[in-house]
Amino acid sequence: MFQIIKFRLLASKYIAILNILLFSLSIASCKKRDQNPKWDADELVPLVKTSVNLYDLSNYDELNPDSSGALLLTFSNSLFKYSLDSLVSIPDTGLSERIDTLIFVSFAPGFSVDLAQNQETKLKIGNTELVEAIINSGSIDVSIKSTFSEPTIVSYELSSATKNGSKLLISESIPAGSVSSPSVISSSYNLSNYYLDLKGLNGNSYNTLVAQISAMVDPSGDTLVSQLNDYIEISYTFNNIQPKYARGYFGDNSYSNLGKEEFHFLSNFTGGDIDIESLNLNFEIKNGAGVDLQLGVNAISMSNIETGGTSVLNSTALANSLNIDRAQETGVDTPPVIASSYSIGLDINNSNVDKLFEIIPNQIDYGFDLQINPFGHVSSHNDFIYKDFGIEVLLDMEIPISVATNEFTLSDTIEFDMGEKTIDDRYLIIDGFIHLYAYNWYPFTATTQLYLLDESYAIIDSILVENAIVEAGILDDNNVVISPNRSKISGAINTAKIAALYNAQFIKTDFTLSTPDYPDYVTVYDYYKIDMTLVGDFNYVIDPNE
Amino acid sequence: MRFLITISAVLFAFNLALGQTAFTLQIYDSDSNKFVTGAYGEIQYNSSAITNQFAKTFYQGEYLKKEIKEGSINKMGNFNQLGLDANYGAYSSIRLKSFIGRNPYRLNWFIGLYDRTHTDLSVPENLFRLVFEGNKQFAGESIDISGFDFKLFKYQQLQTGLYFDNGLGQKIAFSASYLNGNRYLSYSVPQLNFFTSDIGDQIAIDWDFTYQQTNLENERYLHSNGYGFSTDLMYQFSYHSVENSNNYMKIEINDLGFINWSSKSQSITSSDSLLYEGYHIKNIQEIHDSLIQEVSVDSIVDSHTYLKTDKFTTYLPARISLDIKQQHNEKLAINIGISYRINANYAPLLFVEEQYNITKKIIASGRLSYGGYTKLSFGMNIRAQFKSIGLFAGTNNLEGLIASKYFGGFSTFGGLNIRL
Repeated sequence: MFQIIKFRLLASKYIAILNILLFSLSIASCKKRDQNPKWDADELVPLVKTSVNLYDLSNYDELNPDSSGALLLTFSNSLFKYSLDSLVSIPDTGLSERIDTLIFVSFAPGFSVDLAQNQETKLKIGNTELVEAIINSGSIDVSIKSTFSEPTIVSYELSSATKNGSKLLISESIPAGSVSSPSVISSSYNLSNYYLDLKGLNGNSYNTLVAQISAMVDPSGDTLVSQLNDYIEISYTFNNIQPKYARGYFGDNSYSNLGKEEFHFLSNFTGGDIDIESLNLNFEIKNGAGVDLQLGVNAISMSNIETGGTSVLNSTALANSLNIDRAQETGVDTPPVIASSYSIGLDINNSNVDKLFEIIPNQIDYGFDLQINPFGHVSSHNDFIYKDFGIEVLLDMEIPISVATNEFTLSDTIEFDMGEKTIDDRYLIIDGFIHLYAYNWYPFTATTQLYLLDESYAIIDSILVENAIVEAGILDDNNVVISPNRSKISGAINTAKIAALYNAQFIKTDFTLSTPDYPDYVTVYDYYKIDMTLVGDFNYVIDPNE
Repeated sequence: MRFLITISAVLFAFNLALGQTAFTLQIYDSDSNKFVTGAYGEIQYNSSAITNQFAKTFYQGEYLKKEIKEGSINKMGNFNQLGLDANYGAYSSIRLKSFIGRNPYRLNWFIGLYDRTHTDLSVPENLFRLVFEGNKQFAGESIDISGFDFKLFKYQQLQTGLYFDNGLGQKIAFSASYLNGNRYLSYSVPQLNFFTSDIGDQIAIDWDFTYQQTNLENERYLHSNGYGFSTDLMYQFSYHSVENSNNYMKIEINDLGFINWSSKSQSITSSDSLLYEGYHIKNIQEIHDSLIQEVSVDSIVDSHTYLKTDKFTTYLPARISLDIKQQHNEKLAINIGISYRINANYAPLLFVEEQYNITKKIIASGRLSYGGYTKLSFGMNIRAQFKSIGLFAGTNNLEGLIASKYFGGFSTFGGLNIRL
């Protein structure tokens, strides 16, 4: 990520004030208006004041001090999650019924006939055997077509679906039609919050809907005389049925998870060595579903996609598959489920996890195998799952900032614009110096450089003197910094340098950090920082109107 | 140097009693003529420190090289003045026959119409150095650069009055003028302190200033942004005999008046403190323009700035002068005097002039003065009378023409009159 900084180096407010006070507005009132006088002056001007600490560099809010003030980086992220719709999916299902008349016959108004009586329909849900469910969202779309010459009333009752004790009943009046021009009506009904009993007529089946369909001559109409080939047809489709609760047997499906997560932890560090004293990594598996689980860890590795470095996690804790118990229902609405969980803790004693972080990773790659009901159908159709309660694998990380570094390099590149290049083909800055004053509280010595880059990020020049050192803060016997060190780093500005500054599109900053007695660890405390002030010491062209 | 001495000696051989400015009541002295009419103009630029070379380069918008700046800085004292007057106009004077009715008494009524411009500047040396040489020289110091003051008047003057000569060496003149205020601009900075830390990581400024300006949208020539009145008084008496009335002492007050600027004029008063430490970037990883806007640049420690749009009154830079003339013989006369301008950054000016009658019709004079807006200056002028037509022209600042690197003065004046 690049940022933009526009240095209007010496167009600073103080010069503007002086100009306001003096010549630009006063004498200018009686001077020639088409040209501005110019002159050069030796200016000593603060340009930038900033303070750098690990809070800024880590890009994380989770960097916090512990009770002693030592910094601790904590990180938590969900690697993957299976929710209800991942485990139980009811496909769209369409059905139809039709009755034809083969003879001429008369039906009095109010005459009724059953098209289907206690008709069972099996939903096709793979190897999942649902016995009940509550619908979160979805609809039933009904279309009725009739050729009869009198209006008829068609009723569809889904006795498997109830809401507040009432069965789902759809009744539609269809106008008169003909064989050549059937009458058609269509409508849709919301099924949200309907309870579905999928055990069928005998109560021992699964995935089964029961329905009745009937048709009646409109009681307020005339006698219906059917003709040869007259018919009435009803079609209905279950659309986008999303349950918020389901019970049954969810099968023994296996799920393979290959994934990656990007880190930006210390992503600006680009070289050198860092040794981390300790860290804790924890994988937590939360099972909020009423199914047994078996989790196998195939591989976990971390990599730095800029440098290409990769390190694979090795740990005995991950050698065998892990069995995770099913969740338990509470019998109350909130919460309906108590999830079971299982943790895998990794540290430098049971794994090489510290080596993974010492390559300064910015990506974790993982592979997990997850199987539900690994012991078969043992629940008698009592697997369950609720919306918002699924299966989740989380990564928790805790790294105390106690490190040893050797020429550990922090780099960053920012967009750069010097602003107006010249006045009358003269550079505004004639020559001079840039001085960097650093007050370093960190127990690191740092060498620093500012590189000027062109539009293709090629280095065209550098600003500061080579190998200038920002001295480490002053340590006590416990390796704790008790006072900062002030360092001054200067860079000469000449014509070539000024041309490079104006041509630069980006500035790359390099900080190379080394702890004083590498590989001894030093702990970083929350009050450590580097206060920096950039001062321009220039012979500068002043134009009162600029 | 020898050249300058030679020029000075030559100039002392001339004398024309025009004084520092032609805009005095003496212009209305018609001698024995019944009617006099004329026109004249002058432009005078003087500075105690800012050299002609600097002023010219600045005015022309050119590059101020180091040696040009140093030419002015080397002349500077703690406070340094600059003044500019540009005046021109026409007048008539009529002798009133009926008054008293006998010679040698004379009474003239006169009227004049003029365009007047006056600029006045006072600048502390360190402020000038700060602006033109930079603040590096003041690292580790807090400098007091209070006292900057600038005024610009531009107005038109309709003048009328009476000029009385008793023929026995006494002359009295009085005028009243209506003034059309055209433009006014002023800065007054009674307090200004500037601090630069030793390593340049801090700049602090505190100031107290007043700014006044007339309506910017109505500043074209002859447009009115206010009105005022002024008066001029002159009394001259001979201190020897009637026969030699050219020996005289004269006291004169000019431009004693005021202008009320219109209610559309603006006044700004500001008393602020500012601490500048560069752009404050809180998080070096998240720099973008808007953030810089938010966290920069300086902290206004104490801010009291007020803008008022209302009328205000200013007083003209009136002049008071004392002039003594001694006639040596038919050819030579000497004139010494002192003048001072109130409501201006003007030092008392002492001058001495020598007048030489080249012929009966041509008179030349040379002048040496010290003070005013500048220090030492030399001038010369010449007057000629051909029958009824008179001409005069001159300068008070030969030094600025000869050595513009070292002196800050430029002036020229001239005019003609017709005497009937």
